Amino acid sequence: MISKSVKQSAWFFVIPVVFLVAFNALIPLMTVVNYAFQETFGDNVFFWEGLTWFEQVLNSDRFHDAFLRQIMFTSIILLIEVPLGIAIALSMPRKGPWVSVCLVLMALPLLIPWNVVGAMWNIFALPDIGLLGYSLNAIGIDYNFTQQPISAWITTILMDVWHWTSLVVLLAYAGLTAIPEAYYQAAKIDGASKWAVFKWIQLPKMKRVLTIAILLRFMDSFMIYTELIVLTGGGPGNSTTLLSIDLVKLALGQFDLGPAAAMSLVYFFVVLLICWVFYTLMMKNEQQ
Amino acid sequence: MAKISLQDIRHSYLSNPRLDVDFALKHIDIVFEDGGAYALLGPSGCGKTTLLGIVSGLVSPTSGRVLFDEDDVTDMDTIHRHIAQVFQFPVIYDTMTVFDNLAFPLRNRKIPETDVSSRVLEVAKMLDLEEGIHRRAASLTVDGKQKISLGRGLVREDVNVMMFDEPLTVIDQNMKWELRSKLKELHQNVRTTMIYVTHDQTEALTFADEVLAFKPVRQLPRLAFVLNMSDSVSRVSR
Amino acid sequence: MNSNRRTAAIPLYRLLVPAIYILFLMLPIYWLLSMSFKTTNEILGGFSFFPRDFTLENYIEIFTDPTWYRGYLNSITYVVINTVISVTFALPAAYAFSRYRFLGDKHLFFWLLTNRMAPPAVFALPFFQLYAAIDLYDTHIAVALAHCLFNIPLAVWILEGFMSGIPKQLDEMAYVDGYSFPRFFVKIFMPAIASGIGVAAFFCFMYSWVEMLLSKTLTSVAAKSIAATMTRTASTAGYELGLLAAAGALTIIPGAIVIYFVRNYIAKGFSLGRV
Ligand SMILES: Nc1ncnc2c1ncn2[C@@H]1O[C@H](COP(=O)(O)OP(=O)(O)OP(=O)(O)O)[C@@H](O)[C@H]1O
Ligand SMILES: [Mg+2]
Repeated sequence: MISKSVKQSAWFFVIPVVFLVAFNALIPLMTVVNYAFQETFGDNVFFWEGLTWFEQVLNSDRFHDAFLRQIMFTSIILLIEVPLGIAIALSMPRKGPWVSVCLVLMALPLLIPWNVVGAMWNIFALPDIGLLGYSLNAIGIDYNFTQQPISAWITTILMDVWHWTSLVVLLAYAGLTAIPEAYYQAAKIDGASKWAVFKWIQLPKMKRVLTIAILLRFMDSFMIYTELIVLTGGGPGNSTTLLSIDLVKLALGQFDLGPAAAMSLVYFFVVLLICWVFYTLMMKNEQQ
Repeated sequence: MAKISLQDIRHSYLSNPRLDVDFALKHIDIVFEDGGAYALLGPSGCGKTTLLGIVSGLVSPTSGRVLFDEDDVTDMDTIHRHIAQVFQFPVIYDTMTVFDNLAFPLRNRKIPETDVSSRVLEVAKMLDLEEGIHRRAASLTVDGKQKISLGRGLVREDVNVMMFDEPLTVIDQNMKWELRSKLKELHQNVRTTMIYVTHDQTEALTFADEVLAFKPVRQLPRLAFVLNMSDSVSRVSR
Repeated sequence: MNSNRRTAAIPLYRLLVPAIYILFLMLPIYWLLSMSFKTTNEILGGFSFFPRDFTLENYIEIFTDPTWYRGYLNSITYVVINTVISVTFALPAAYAFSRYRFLGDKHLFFWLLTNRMAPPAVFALPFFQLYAAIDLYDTHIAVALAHCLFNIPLAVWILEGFMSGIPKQLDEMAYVDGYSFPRFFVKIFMPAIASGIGVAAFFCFMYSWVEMLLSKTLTSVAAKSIAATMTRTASTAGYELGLLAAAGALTIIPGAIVIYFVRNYIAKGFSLGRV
């Protein structure tokens, strides 16, 4: 890390960025805050509502359920994608022509628009005409993601694993290739087993990139909307209604802007809080 | 411990070497006698590290044989050759303590914990690493880290040969002298074969009983009386 | 026995795990492609692994119907505008973060990153109101600006990582040689971090291309994005799965082209950002 000199005029370099991001972040946020604390009957007439909406949201079963489903979804996909991503990165060749082939093919899902991801999985999983759904039913597994909550969950998780594991793979792979050959040689001399090499060399050296991976996956899985609305629409029933979907249903479907705004804020701050805690913990760990 | 013979070794990092320049080692025939202290001297890129790699099994030679005593070990794994090697730049296990770093080669070989502990403390004492031995190794300076790397080579008692690849490059001047004497002293006590790679003539001559100088010889005027043992390696005895 | 042992090929089992994973990745894509070459009758008629009556009709419809192909052009337009804006704005900011300390720099950096955490679902409606209020609704620039919310922080993050890898001596030497700052920045510094700029541009392109909620919310007719076009098809034309599949398959192409060009940098770009 290079040493930095103090220079206040460096602010001029960041002003354009601050202006642009603030324009996009603060004004909409103020709008949300506005709705969250007030009641409107149109025509821009507002009545102060204080914390009513917040109480209502925080006490509603609906929010609790969506929140629990969200936590469950995020935990499951993190538990699958992170170890799987690491395992695939470990088994990839380090050099040679296959590396490019692997990277290009693996990165492909990351660049497919999210609604297409949802649509693709929808037609892939359809029980009567989809490859996955048809095959499962053909071998005697009763599978129909439009009717059965369990099937819907499995399909959703499979889709997310399909969509995002490559991100973990790419990051972990980048971390792995950055380890100097001397470490592996020293480990051989020291008689380390494969597991010991993983535990004492590869994992510690991947820590930084894995932090990025987990943070990104956490944030993005907490925001998942487009893929899911196209795949299941939050159903059957409310079984796959995660936070974002619930929020949009509330805001656009029922036009309950007050509670929706209050929920937006709660939601945003939960994401922020968890990321902040995670971030500080990692930083502390780093300094030790 | 064993006598190590390299017979007719050639090595190229290319997959299809044809010309002479494709070879990092053109033709090597050397015998390291059991218990000797050797220095390998030569300019950068002449193949010193490659040679050590061939002895330790990290590199398998394009052609030729490696013998430990009379056994052909050319195709044997590094772990079964029982060798210790220290690299030019420190390699430490960041997340372990200094103690665990030193104990690592022993624990991997399932040595009883009491022996591990006494052996580690002995080596730590020799290298002045006792203070903060239970701290994380990552917190040490470069000197300290390189001492750990050295220490991991020294803790093992059953080795056939200890190899040092320019181990003192990152260590400051005073310490260099001290560590070199320590190594020399150690050699006199345990009589393990040691091979020491360096750029520095003085270092080579103070450490070793025998200096093996890689060609081109004209860069080493003081060794003008070298006996020409082979195509590319010359040997001088004190 | 003295054969060339070094050249042993990568053992096959090492390719097995990646191969299985890639197969898993390709299956849904294959299915999408296969659907796109089927007629509606065949799709609804039942299951078939290969297209029986291979047809290009779906693709022909997309390439001849302006509402379809304009959707792609509109999307690519705002993605390109966004990429240019994000990288151009992020460059000086990343330079400041990598070279200087100034009042509030750490907090500012974290604040920028928090915007990467803002759920688009939270912001969709306020964004609509904001851009309607300033008369930019249904323009390319509106989507391009809205995507800056998460792309600028990302670009700053990536570029800062690359710039920190360039020694400060480079800057100092240029001043000694009498370069003015803008000339130094464009002529010397930017070439030095060219791969970083490439990686940042790649990620901006990627996130702007795949994001569909905001782009759909902010456009209606003139700048209608491909997402909006596809949604309309899905709802109004009933269940034209073949057409939808063809449209989806075509959205993969721009991404695939971009990945191909940056394949050697992708892995690197991820690793260099700092947390
Ligand atoms: N892993 C490798 N792949 C390809 N070529 C290599 C590799 N390692 C070394 N070489 C080449 O083989 C030759 C000998 O290298 P080697 O590292 O053995 O030299 P050295 O004498 O140890 O040099 P130094 O004093 O710089 O450490 C050099 O030309 C080097 O470029
Ligand atoms: Mg060397």
